[in-house]
Amino acid sequence: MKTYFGPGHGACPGCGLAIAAKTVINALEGRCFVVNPTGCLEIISSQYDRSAWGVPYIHSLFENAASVASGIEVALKVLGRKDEGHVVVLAGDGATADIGIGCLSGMFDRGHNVLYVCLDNEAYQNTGNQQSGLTPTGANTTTTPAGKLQPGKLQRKKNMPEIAVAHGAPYVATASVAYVPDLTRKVKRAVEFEGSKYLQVHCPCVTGWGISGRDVIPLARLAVETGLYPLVEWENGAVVRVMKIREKKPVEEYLKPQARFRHLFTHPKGKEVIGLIQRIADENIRRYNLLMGAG
Amino acid sequence: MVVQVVRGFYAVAYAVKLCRPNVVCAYPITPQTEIVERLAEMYANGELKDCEYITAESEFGAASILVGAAAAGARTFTATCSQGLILMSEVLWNAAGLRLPIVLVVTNRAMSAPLSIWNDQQDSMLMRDAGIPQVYVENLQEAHDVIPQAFKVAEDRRVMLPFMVCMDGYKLTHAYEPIDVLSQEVVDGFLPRYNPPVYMTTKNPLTFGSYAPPHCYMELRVALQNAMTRAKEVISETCREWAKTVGRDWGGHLVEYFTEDAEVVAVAMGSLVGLVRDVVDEMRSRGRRVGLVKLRTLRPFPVEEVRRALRSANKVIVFERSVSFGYEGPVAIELKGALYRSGNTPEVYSIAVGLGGRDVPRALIVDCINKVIEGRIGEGFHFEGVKPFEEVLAP
Amino acid sequence: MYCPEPCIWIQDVDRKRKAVVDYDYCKGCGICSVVCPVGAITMEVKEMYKV
Repeated sequence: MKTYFGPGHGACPGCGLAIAAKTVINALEGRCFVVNPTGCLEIISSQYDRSAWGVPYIHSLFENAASVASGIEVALKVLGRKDEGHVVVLAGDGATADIGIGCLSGMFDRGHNVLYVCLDNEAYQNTGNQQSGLTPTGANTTTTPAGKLQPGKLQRKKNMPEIAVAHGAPYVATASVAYVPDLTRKVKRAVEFEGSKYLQVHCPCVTGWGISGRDVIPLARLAVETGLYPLVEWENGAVVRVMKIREKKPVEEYLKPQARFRHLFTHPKGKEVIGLIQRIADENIRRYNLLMGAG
Repeated sequence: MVVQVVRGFYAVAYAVKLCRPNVVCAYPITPQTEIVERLAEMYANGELKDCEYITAESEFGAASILVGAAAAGARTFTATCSQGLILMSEVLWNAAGLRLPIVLVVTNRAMSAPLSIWNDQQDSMLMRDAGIPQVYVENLQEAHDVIPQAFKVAEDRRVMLPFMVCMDGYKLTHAYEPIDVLSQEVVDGFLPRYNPPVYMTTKNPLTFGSYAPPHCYMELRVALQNAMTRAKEVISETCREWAKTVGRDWGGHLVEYFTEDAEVVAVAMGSLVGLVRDVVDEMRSRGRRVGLVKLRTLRPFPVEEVRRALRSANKVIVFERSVSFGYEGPVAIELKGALYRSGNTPEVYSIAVGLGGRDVPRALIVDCINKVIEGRIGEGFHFEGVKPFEEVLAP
Repeated sequence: MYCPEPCIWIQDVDRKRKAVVDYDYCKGCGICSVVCPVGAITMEVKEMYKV
């Protein structure tokens, strides 16, 4: 069986990003152009004089992946080479939701035929776990540390999928490395649409979250089963499919095994924050109708 | 030969059209906006064949789109200046390192703060170190002619770098001048199709923009320097070829005017050259031995040509349109560096004029030159044409 | 399909479908042992490299 990404890249053992990147590229059978901004994925896969990529690949800058992808898409169109492959962005959450959001908005606005995949490991992990717009509430990162007063990050996770929907993206979906066949299906579905597609994939980070390789898949599944990471699909602005939760799990089950949330169980404000996190999960469940047997 | 009275921005836009770009990116900033507006009109009327016109969300976005497009094998163009240039500077540095031949016109404009939409050359100065050739044009014909040359040099396999054509904002972009408008046949004969040695394609998957650890980064920078060194010859070669094709020789890296026996040589870049040349003519007719060096290429810096041009000068006046704050005018700094141990160490006067679009009257140039000839001004850096003002420092 | 590398493939071995691991690339993360539907994989701790 052929793979168009890896093996032999420098990712940490059990890296969620690597599972996602590999799945996306292989779902497209290597018929794609990859634009990858600065971050873990770029660093582990494209050191000078070696490469883990079996597809045309460009690393430009941190914040402009969406624009570079737009440019490739336009060039292929103009040069009569549209059928060579899909233009795909594989970008981290920081590059997507923070520094690159301007360029991303421009890409959506112009409707370039690009599949933008956000690999969401919920912080700037390559530089050592600093908070990003997609870091969830309660997380201990080096820039939102749990200290005597502060119990980790108190702001919310930016709702990037809904931002994509608001831009008129024809296909938007959230996915998780916990469910690789589902991710594969979503990639193939996305490229059936013409326009700017957004796919956000939950990728546990063993180093940044403080978990072991064996925890990666079970934890990613718990994120979905608690309602904290709803798996939703929008087509042309309307929700068409969600992954239903068979048995709802309390958020504590998801939080406790991770070093980045462990402080919540001892910090004076911890209980309050856990309550807030539970409310976020419940809100997601209600909003997207995630419980099985409901609606 | 078709002579038409055109405005600068049209001269540029029309030349760009003749060069058959594949992707043009636009983001408005005074005073280049009209360039991209003319191109938009042409695009809307179907006059830009095999070309997509993209309205970017910022200059940063515009340059980034062109990086992707150029990497995929397209010929690319944009225009900017001042705040827009500095905003896209990250991407331009990146493009130079990636060896992508993006052509851009910089309509020289002052830098904020304070905000100014008017002309000086502070903006392009900050790009000197990036590994991007920059050429300064004096008039609309030169601007029109340099565009095809810019694409040719940038895309030459010995170079493969972005290329900046600098033209004074408003002074040139909005001026009316009669120019000989190039024909499509002439440009097609001069400028071949963009044919990069490598580009992004699924038929030959390659990795662009790798990160380079210490064991290999330096060699890649040596390669960039080599490209700039080769660019110097390619620029001269292209200029000569243009002269043969069209009959207009813009003189390569610099043009000497009455420098052979000049005691005082003025140096200028851009539109100011025309005024200084007039003054030199007038002073010559009155017996003053003055000369002029029109510096066209700031990067790659033409060391030999500068040394030769200034070999007999006792005094050199550099009319600066920018300042390297905390030191002096950047052109004088570069010039002095070139003259070091060259056998001639003339007095160098770095005189900043016309910042932020301040008018430079003929009398000011005459006055500066006289001040230097008569020894009424010391060597070093001066602002001229400044109104007296009182600076109040807070206690 | 969950291996991050990937270094594990289903291949035909002696006319049976088997999971084959390329040990040159395996980093020992253990994901495969957790997701295997028949629990066929166990992780063994190899000796740490001594410097």
